[in-house]
Amino acid sequence: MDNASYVNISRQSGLMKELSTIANNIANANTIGYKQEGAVFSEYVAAIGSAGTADAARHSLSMGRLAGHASNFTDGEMRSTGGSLDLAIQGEGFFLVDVDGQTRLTRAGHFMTDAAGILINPDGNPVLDAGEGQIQIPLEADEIIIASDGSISAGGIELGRLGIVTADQNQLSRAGGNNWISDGGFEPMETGRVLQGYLEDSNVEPVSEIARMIEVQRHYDAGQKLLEMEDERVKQTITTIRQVS
Amino acid sequence: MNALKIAATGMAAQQTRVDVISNNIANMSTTAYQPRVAEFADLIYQQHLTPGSVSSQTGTIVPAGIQMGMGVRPSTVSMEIVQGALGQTGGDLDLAIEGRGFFEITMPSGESAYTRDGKFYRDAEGLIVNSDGYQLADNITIPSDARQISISLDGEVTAFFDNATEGQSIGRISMSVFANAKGLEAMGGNLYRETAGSGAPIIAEPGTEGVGTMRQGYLEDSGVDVVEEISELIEAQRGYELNSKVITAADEMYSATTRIR
Repeated sequence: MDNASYVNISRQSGLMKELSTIANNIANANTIGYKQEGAVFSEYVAAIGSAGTADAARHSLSMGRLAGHASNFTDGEMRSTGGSLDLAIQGEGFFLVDVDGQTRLTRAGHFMTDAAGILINPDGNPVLDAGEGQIQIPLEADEIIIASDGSISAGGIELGRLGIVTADQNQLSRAGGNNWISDGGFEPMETGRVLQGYLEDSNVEPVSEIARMIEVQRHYDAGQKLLEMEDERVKQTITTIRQVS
Repeated sequence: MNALKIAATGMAAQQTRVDVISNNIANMSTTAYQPRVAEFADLIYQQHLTPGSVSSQTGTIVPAGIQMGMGVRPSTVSMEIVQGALGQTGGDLDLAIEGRGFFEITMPSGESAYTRDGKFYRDAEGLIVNSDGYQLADNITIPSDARQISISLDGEVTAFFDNATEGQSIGRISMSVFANAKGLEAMGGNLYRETAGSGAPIIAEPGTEGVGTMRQGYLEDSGVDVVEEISELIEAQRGYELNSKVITAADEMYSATTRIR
């Protein structure tokens, strides 16, 4: 019956979700290693004629719906902190962390050591080396040097090498805690460029997010206007029919 | 109502940041203060449509799916282990640590506490105490007739007397190092307490491998970089405003919804 309204509602709920995405981006504008998230809308075609009749194929309704999310993997700004265990990866690549026995990928290189000298992230999850093992930093190590390929050394003695991997960006999903799950596995990366003493800032650009937010808001208003007009039109039809009969 | 809640987590995060910055600025002249830094992590995601799920009978898969983020949380507020500048004071019991390490202090309760604040005094019995009167754990008594006290880089305390040119060793100040100094719990008064996160202290001689040295007549300044803190403050304030803008926008969208009828 009221197809115009249905099409509109689909669009409106998509816009609400997009606003949530924007809110999440802005909330994470200072989260290290965070990647901006975009919403992708696609057309959804539904048959509206009676099923099984020739009519079904001819009459269809096109709607917009939220089809997926896209992550923007461009580098965030590199912020100098001077911390010897603050690491950032320039360009492609991820660090590996072990979260409850599962290997997760992350770009947030704010690491520290635990009481036993094992390299961990702020949530206490061990950071993994190239062979997916834990990394032990000896207590007496004073000046820790991390080379651009992820090799860790102290006083000229090599202590291990950070696992730096690449993964198919389309198969990465967000796991929270600055981590990513890779469904398509990952490949060790030989050409990683690790920066010691830097952290990668979030790549969210607040200005463009606010512009996107205004756009969403105006589209939403336009949708509401359409609903109001549709409501008015139906009301008028009913009034007219009553007068005629 | 997700956008409202998400923006609220963003405002709370920026608020945490401002709190941390204000504490750093307040401690810009505190001896041996280690600036704190707040770091954030994204919250869990609602999986509306999991990436990789099958989207047709021929086996095509959804490339990116729909994952709705739920906002942000503070992940750590940790110490930045930085070496503060050494300021000359000339006091014979003013000690600065250059490099890693902490002095061990015995609290009145008998518990050990650790500090980098090397402003020490002698009490009525000649014991070395900190500004709150708590004893240095090495239990060194300075003889009342000592003319001068000299403390070497490796912590050896030597007393000089009027009737002799040679000094006399009266003890040694040791230093404690931790596997993870960021894991220490701050108790206020420039003191820290060991935790399971920091590991047990390792008592070491100053100047040995990986342990700092002592400088007599100097105090370690606060490690706060005020210029950096102010630019962080501006960033945090604008971040707070941005999140509040999202709340306004979400509010207007909801009010547009209720205006239909």
